[in-house]
Amino acid sequence: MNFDELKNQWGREIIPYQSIPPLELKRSNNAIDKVRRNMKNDFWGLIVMLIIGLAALVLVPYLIFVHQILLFVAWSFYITFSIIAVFFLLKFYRFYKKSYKLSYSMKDNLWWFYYELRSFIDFYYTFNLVALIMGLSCGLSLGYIGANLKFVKGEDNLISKSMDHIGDLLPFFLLFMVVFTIMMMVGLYYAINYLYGKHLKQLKITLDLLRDNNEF
Amino acid sequence: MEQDFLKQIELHKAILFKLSKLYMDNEVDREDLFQEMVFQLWRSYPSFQGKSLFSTWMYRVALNTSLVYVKKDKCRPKVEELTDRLDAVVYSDHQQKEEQLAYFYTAVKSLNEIEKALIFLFLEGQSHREIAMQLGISEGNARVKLNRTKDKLQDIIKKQGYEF
Repeated sequence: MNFDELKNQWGREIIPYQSIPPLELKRSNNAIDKVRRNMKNDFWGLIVMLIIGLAALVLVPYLIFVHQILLFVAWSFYITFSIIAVFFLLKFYRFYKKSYKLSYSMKDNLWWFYYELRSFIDFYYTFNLVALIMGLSCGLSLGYIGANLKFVKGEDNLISKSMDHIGDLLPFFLLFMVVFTIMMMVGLYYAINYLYGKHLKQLKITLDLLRDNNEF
Repeated sequence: MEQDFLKQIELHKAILFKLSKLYMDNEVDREDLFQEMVFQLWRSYPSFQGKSLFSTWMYRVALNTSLVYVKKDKCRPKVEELTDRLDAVVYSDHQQKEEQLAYFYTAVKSLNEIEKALIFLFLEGQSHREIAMQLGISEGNARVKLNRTKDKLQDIIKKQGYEF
C-alpha cells in the first residue's frame, strides 16, 4: 500500500457542496454535553424535591393533626438533609459552570473533565446513599414514634413498651429493610451508570488510547 | 466576530467534511458530526487567540469533538460490500483511484478513534511533531502509533481482498 499516493488522492478528493450549519445547536450530541444536560436535570430535580419537602412540612400540620414530636423529628431530618444537599449542590454547580467554559482545544481539558466527572460520580453516589439512609431512618423514626403514640398513648416509657407489640414482626421487617436497601443501592448504581458512567467509560477508553505504550 | 468565523469555516470546511466522513459510517451521522464540530468550534472560538493558524486550532477542536461525540448508529462497517464491486471489468486510472479511496474509507472504519485521528492528520500532511502536538502526546509515541496504524490499515485492506 502506497501511503504517499493515498495522501495525494486524499488531497485531490472532490468535496461535495456543504453548507455551513447554524452556529447554535438545539441538542449537542457529545459525551460532555450529555453529561452536562443530565447534571442540569438532576440539579433542578433535587431543588424541586427540597421545595416539595419543605412545602409538605409547612402545610401538612395545617391540614391534619400531627403530634409535635413527629414534627420535630421530620424537621430535624429535613434540616440535616438540606444542609448536606446544599453542600452537594454547590459542588455540583461549580463543576457544571466550569465545564461550560471547557474549551475543546486542549486534550488536557478532556482529562480534566474525566477526573472531575469521576470524582463527581463517586460523590453523587455517596450523596444518594446518604439520602437513602436518611430517608429510611426518617421513615422508621416517624413510623416507630407514631406507632407508640397510637398504641400506648398516655403511658410512661412509651418506646420500650411498644416493643412488645412489634416484636413478632421484627424479623420480617428487618428482612424487608435489607432487601429494600440492597434493591435501592443496585438501582442507584445502574441509574448513575446510565446517566454518567457510560460517558465516563467512553472518555476513559479514548483517553487511554492516547497514553504512551510504556505508561501502562 | 461571527463573520470572521464563518469566513474561516468556509475556507476550511473540507477538513471538517473529511473528518466526519472518516469517523461516521452514514450520511446522517456525518451531517450531525459536521454540525457538532461547527458548533464546538464556535463555542471555543473566543479562546482562539490567533497565536497559531486557524486551521491548526481547528484540527484540534474538531478532533477532540470527534473523540467525545456519541454515535447514534453503532453498526460495524460492512466491508464485504466493496469486495463484490471488485469483479467489475476494467477500470480507468481515475476510477481505480476512486476505488482505492473507497476501500480506504471502508477500512478506516475498523480503526479505533485515535487511530482514525492519526491517519487523518497524516493524510493532511502533518509531521510527526505536529501530530504529537495536536493529540497531546510525545513525538515518539505519535511515530510509533502512526506506524502501527498504517500496518493495521494495510492488513485490513488485504483482508478485504484488495491491495494498492
